[in-house]
Amino acid sequence: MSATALPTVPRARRVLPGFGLTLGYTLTYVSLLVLLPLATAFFKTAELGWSEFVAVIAAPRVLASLELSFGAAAIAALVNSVAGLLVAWVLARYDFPLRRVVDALVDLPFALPTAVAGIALTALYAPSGWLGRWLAPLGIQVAYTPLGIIVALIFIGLPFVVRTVQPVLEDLDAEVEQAAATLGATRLQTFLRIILPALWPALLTGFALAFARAIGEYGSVIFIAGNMPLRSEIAPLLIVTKLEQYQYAAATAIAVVMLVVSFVLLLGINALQGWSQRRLGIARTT
Amino acid sequence: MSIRVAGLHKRFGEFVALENVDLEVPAGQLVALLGPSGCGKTTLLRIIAGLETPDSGEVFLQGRPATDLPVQHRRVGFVFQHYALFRHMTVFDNIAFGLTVRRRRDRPPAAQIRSRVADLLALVQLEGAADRRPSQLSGGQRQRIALARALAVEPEVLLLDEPFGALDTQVRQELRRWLRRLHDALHFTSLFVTHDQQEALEVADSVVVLNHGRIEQRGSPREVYDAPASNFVHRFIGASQELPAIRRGGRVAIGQLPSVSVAGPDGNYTAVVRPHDVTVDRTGPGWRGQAVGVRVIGPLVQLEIALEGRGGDPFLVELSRERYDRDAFAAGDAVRIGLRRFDLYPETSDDSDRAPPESVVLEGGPEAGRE
Repeated sequence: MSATALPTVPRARRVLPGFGLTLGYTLTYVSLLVLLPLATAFFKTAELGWSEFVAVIAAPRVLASLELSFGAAAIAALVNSVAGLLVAWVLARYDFPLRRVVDALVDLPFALPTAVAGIALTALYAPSGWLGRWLAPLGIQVAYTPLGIIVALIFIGLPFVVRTVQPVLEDLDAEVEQAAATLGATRLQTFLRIILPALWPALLTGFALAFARAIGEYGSVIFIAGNMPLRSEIAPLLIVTKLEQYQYAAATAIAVVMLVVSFVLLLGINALQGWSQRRLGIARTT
Repeated sequence: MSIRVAGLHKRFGEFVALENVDLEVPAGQLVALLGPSGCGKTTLLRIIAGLETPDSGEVFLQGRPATDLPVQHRRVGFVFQHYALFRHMTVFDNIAFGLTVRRRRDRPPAAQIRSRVADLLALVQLEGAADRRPSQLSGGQRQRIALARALAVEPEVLLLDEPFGALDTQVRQELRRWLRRLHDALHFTSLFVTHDQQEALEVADSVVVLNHGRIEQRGSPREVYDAPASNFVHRFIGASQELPAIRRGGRVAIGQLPSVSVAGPDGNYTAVVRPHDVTVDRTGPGWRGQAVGVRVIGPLVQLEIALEGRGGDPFLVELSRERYDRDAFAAGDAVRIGLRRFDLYPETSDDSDRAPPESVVLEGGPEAGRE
């Protein structure tokens, strides 16, 4: 009898076992590693009252530094999105001597200690440096100005865009571009209407990563920035300054503002990315 | 003459893809380019479309030289094996693409584009699909959308690269008959590439057989099957098998079969035989053998026969179901076979040898040639 009885169907069988376990692990891990330290910042900030908190944040020096940090990071990430797309395009589409070397060079800003990058960039762009010497007569001063901060942030953010866009470009079906050409599309039309929409999600991810990295960047910036309050002082540096003056709660207050703003911006970019991915059609069966 | 190419050469590194190819496709015809993979058929199609440039030779579309014309201006519709639909666009936008990329003064007004897309969707029988995305369609539906997209710009010629190659057997049969009907209704000039002889013979007005970058034969489906121009075409189109043959003094002897008189030089030959050009009986003259396998495939019956003195794979014979029902052969039965028709090639001929065969037709079976 029991041989003919059908086994009861277990509810929602998954192909891979252990969903409950891995979900628990993921939540614990993220909590321990990310949430807990961040929560500490919030708790520390709570030592300030609301009015004190507002007083710390509304100080002109703090506002200027926040504006500089987010503004420079956004500009650098934008520049990287365009320039990184070009680099990724060349690496994905063309074969040229030393291509592998160039490909490896792209990752170098990841590996380089940020202080080294900062010192090297400062030496280059200082009024007496190799590049600064030629820019100074034109009235362009890079080192010790917000422009220098943007240059440093572009430097450290480049790999993010290249590395997210390149694999998607390599994956693009050349036949789709040929189809567009047989239908009469010019190269520009093919790029704008066929290639770019396919690259959007990757480009947004690259932008978000470069942007996030630039907001928190410290090492490479402080050498080239000049760090003049109200002009070229970034928020992370101001936090360090407050810490050195034993104003722990004030330091964490600035950190909390940076956290919240970053989180909201990244959440927005993620939502945008999810939306564009849905537009692309998830199923990729050919 | 809608499409004409003359003296086309193309090589990729050491590999010769096309060697001195001349081809004409008259207006309104549906022509198949047939050949094994690597024979150059897709390269030829892509050169006509302008997606590839020939090393030398000329392409003419509607009688006008087009060799140096960029793809965008050739007015060819191209259908890819893997559809190449724009994944991020709806079906409507896919079909309208060729119209919306036109310069402002050549671009039809939006209302006209809408009605044109609606007409095309009706033509490919997918009226309700305008707002879907390609990922929501089946393979057959996607290929029909790809065809509608290609037709939207009113191309002068339609080029199809293995259009049904990625589809299931049933869908591809349905779709190729539909393509034929569509072609009969609209009379566009089309050239399609396939490696499937069934598809070529069933759909095309005319079949071009390619091998190693050269055209082996050009003819109607019936001509290339019944009168293959070379050993290669014979073996490539339809099933065929080889038997050694010897000619002495104008008589050809094949194994135990009674010799038949066929004038020509003495020597060793290869007789190429189609499985349905063979007769099978239990007695009488003919080559003795034993049935080793019987397969009933719908209206056809395949017999595998081990012939005396012939090694290798069993000899394949195809009978009609009607013939089989009269004389139900079973595995193990002793049988005699005769030939109804065979083609003689010099024994030394291979793929590169393009001499036509001597066809031998024995109307009344093997006895007819007996003396």
